[in-house]
This record gives sequence, C-alpha cells and structure tokens, in this order.
Amino acid sequence: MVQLLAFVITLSLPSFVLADSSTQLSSLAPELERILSRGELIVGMHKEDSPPFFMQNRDNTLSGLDVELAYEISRSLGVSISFLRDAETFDEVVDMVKEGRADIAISSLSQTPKRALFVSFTKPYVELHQALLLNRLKASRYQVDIGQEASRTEEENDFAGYEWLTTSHIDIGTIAGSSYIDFAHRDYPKAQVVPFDSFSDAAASLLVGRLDAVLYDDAFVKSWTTHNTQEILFVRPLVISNRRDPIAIAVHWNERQLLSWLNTELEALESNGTLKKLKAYYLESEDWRED
Amino acid sequence: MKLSFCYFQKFCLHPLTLVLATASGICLGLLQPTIAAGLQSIGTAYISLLQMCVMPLLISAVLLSVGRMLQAGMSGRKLSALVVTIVVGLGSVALIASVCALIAEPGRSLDQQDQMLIGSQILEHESHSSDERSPSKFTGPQVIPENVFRAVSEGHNLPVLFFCIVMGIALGSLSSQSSEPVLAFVEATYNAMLKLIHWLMYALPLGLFCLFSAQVSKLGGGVLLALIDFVCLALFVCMLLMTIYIGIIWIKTRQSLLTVIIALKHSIIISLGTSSSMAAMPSTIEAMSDNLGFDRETANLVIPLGFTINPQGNVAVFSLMLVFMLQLYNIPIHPADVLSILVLSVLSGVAASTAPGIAGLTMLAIAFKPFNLPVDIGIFLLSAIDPVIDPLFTAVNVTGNAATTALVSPRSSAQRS
Repeated sequence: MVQLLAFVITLSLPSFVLADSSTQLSSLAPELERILSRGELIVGMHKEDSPPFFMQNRDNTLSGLDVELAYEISRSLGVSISFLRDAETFDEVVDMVKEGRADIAISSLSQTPKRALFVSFTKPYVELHQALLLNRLKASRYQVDIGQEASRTEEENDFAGYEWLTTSHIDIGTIAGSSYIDFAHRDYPKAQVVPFDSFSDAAASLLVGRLDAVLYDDAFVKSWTTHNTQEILFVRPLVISNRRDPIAIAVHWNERQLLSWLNTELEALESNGTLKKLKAYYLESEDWRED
Repeated sequence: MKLSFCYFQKFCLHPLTLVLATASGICLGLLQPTIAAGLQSIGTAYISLLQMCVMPLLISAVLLSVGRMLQAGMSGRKLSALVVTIVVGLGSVALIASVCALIAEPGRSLDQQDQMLIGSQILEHESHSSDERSPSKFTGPQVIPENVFRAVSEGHNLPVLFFCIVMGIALGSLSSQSSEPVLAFVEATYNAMLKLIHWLMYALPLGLFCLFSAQVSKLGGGVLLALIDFVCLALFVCMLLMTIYIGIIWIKTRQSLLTVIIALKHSIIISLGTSSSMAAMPSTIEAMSDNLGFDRETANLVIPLGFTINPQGNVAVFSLMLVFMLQLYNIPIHPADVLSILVLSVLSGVAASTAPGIAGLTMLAIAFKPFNLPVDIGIFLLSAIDPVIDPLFTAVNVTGNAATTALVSPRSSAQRS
C-alpha cells in the first residue's frame, strides 16, 4: 500500500518516468495496468450537457466541474483523457462502467443504493441537494391559509410550509434514467412520478400546468432559474436542504484498487484546496458562464 | 407682532404655499435623493404628531356623535341608510375598478423583459425572506374587543369603534343629568384635539416638503417600471373615483365646485402626503361640517367609522389587483365570476383597512384564495408599487367618505334656506 502511494506521488512528475518503469507496472492491479499501458483514461459521461458540471463550448472543447476534475485525475495518472458520451440517461452512464466500456464515470452521478448494487462509488466529491420547481398557481391550491401558517412552530421541518408535497396526490416530473426517479418515489410516496427526457421538457410541462412540481438537483434548478427569470412569476424554486444528493465517481465493482486510488486522489485534491476552488467557481458563482 | 403672526398663519395655510411645498419636495426627491431620504425623520415626526391626535379624536368624535344623536332621538333608519350607502358605495367602486381593469387588461401587457425584471426581484426577495420570520401575522378582522384598552394601544380601530358606538348608545340612553358631564368632557376633548390639529396645520408646508421629498427619493425603477401599465390604470381609476365623489359633494352642497375643492384641499393633500387616511380625518371632519355646512354629528360618526369600514380606496386597489392577477395567470374570467370578484374585493378591502399598519396587505388572501392565485406574489407586487399607489388611494378613501357623509347627512342649518 505504502509502495503504491509512493509510486503514485512519483507519477505526478513528468510522465517520461513511465518509460523505464515497465518492471514496476506489472506489480500494479490489473485495472491500473490497463489504463496506464493504454496511456488513456476513458471517462464515461452523459450525452447531454449538464451545466455547471460538464458542457461543450463553442470550440468543441469541454468545460465544467466534472471535466476539470477528470483532467486532474488523468494528469495525476500521467495519461491522456477521452470522454465517452454515448449515454442517453444517467443510468446508462453507470452501465458504461459496469460493462467496462469506460474506466470511470464522472457525470454528476448521484450515489444511490440501487446503483451501488452494480458499481462502486468513491466518496462524494460534491454534495447537492434536492430541489423542486413548483407551479405557483397549483401550489396556491394546496398552500395553507396565512392565518394557520402563523401558528406553525419554528422547528426545522424538511418541507416547512409545503407539507402538501408529501401528503397530496400531485404530479411530479423528473428526468428519466436519473437517480431522481428513485428519490421521487421514496420521498413523495403519494405523488405520480412523470419521467421526461430533459429538464426543459419537464419545465415546459410544469409551466402549462400539467405538473405540480419538477424534482431535480439544486445546481441544475438554480442554473435554470437564472436563465429563465421571466418565468419566476409562474414557478418557484425550492431547495430541500435536508435532502442530500451526494455526487461521486463510479468504477467497476471489481476494480478495488482503482477505487482506492481515486479516493486517495480526491482526498489529496480536497486537502490542497483544488476541489474547494472548483466548487467555488462552478457552484457558488456564476463566473463560469462568461467563459 | 400680532399682525405679522397673522400673515404667517395665512401664508402657511394658503393653498399656493402647499402646492409650492409639495412641488419643491418632489423636485428635491428627484434631484437629490440622498438629502431627501434624510428628511424622512422630520416627515415621520410630523405624521406621528398628526396620528397622535387620531385615536383621542376618533374616540371622542364617535362617543359624542352617537351620544348626542341618541339624545336627539335619532332613529335606526338613519343607521340603516348609512349601511346601505356603504354597501352600495363599495360595490360600485369594485364594479368601476373591475370594469376598467377588464377593459384595459393590464395583466396581459407584461412583456418578456418586464417579466424577467419582476422575476429576478422575486427571486431575491424569496431568498432573503426565507431567513427572516415574519412578525405576528394579522389573523383577520375582530369586531368585539376583549380588552378595549389593549385594542386602543394596539391600534385596532374596528374594535375601538365598536366599543365607542355601544358606549355612545349607552351614554345617550342615560338621563341627561348622568350623561351630560361625560358628554361634556368628551366634547371638550374633541374640541381640544381639533385645536391641536389646527395648530399642526401651520407646519403642514414643512411636513409636506419633507414627506414628498422622502417618498420620491425612495422610488426605485425596477418592478415599478415593469408595472407601469398597472400604475397608470390605477391612477386613472383613482382620478375617476375622486371626480365622482367630488361631484356628489358638489351636488349635495349646492355651492360652487371651486368652494368644494378648496374646502377639501387640506384633506386631499394630507392624504397624498402621509398615505394615512386617519391623519386626514380631522381636516375632513372640519371641511365637511364647517366649510361645506353638513351636519357635524353625522360627519363625526361617518368619517371615523368610514375610514375603517368604508375604505373605497382599498376596495378599488384590491379589485384592480385581482383582475390583474387573473389576467396575468391566464385564468379565464366568466361573466359569473364578476360577481365573485366584486364581493371578494369588497370583503378583502374592508378586512385590510381594519388591520393595523402594513399587515392589511395579507388580507389579499381573502380575494385570491377562491381563485387559487399566489398570494405572496400579489403582496410582493403591491408592496413594490405601494409608494405610488398608497397616497392615491388614501385620497380616494378620504374623498369617498366625505361623499358618503354628504349623502347620509340631513340638511344642516347652513343649507336650509
């Protein structure tokens, strides 16, 4: 273990070191050997852009939090990188790793028990929260009276003032093949879950009143509301701060060494402040939009 | 010395002085907003002085008028005439406002840019308000006070009025010997309050200058500009209603139109400057009884009562807002809905005026709930345009109640000729 650590640290130096390490290569775990001898890391990603995690620029390069994280990882391994973006849903991204078509998946993937049956997850590198986009007109139908609201206690309530979300038979839209289908079923048991191919389709349906709410992660919802302020009169964004959505990297269940190495790498990026910088830039500010 | 003081008094009360003070206040607010904002404290002090007199005046006016009316053998017919006038009056206000809004369709005139602007303001407002807890919400109009002194100190006008009416009836039904000392005391208080307010009128130019400049300096662009169509419609409805009311007074008083307007000048200017119909109450009572010759007892009862249960301005704003929101959210308005709109506007408008201070806006829920309109958006939009809307509709309240007095008042001695 300590040997591997030392080896990894050495690897962050220029990669020509690799040229005469052929003897050391064979003492690596098979998955790492595969990647290093290929000289390329294949990163599985969703086909559609998902700002601010991964988006395609005008000059056809990729940018985003996940993209930069992927580059850090490939740099650390001393290999080049290629992004495999076949997957049409997030569940398909997980399949790519499960079937070995991609080495790892960095695609704002939610760590869920269901997925963990088939792949292994690193520790989360970003923690998002569930967020809803509510149709204001429909919400008014369920909202408690103003007089009653005043008597509500101050205690921390997941859905303070919005209890009707969990108790009424509402229509909640979310993205097909994403972890949010499961979240929706789990957290809103009385609701009808309607899958959509894209967030904009779901939002369009919400705006015409066919849905009561759209459920997704807060990064995406915030991004959408910033781009669509003209609809705020009609929809309301609501972050459920007690419902966490941990985002992690997925690897094949059998590739324990790769998983271990990734966790170590994430730990290192955390302690040298890289992760913090990435999060501040992409998640807490809007500066990345201008670039 | 006495002569120059006399000239000073005349100067302070002259309509031209008031216009000049208002105009220069507005100019200062537009050109030097920072200085103008600093004058807010003087303006607030002036309003506080006026409002200080309101509660004692209200109590003494109502006690006196009900007590005296009962002594003079006033019949219940008069009271029912008043109630009918109020109901019909409010209903017609709601009708006029709704019809104007239905024709003008302000809710459909918001373009993409307006919506974006309003949207971003709402986002900001909602992200801040999640941190603060609202203060004790107004739970709806109460009529009967458990503790009248607490009602007085908390500024709940309706319970206080209820108590005064009941007390006035009780006093009036006592024998002259028992009730006269009390009524005399009440009358002296009443006259003292009027005198106090009369003195405060000399400071009116200064007060107006400070108030208008501070108000104008606070006018931001943003939501106000986005809703400019609605604001213009509100202004039009306001002018229309005031014209009707002044017309009613004119017909009833049989004096020249100019006399009527000059008599009401103080009331209107104070309501525009302070956005407080209560602050304009004393001058309205004076105007109707002294200047225009209506029965003082009627004025003493109808005007304080009317500012609470006959708020034409509130009803007009709420019905405009209701129609606006229905149009904005594309909710179809069937002919049958118009009746609900009228009734709901009247109910919510009256409920709002019984609330102390700004809590009244939450009464919008009464009108919005049946249509499932988002109440918080309505309150947000109204609060945003409040600096312009509030003065206007306070003036409508004031002139409207003056008109109600004119309609209900018997011919007083000045008119019997």
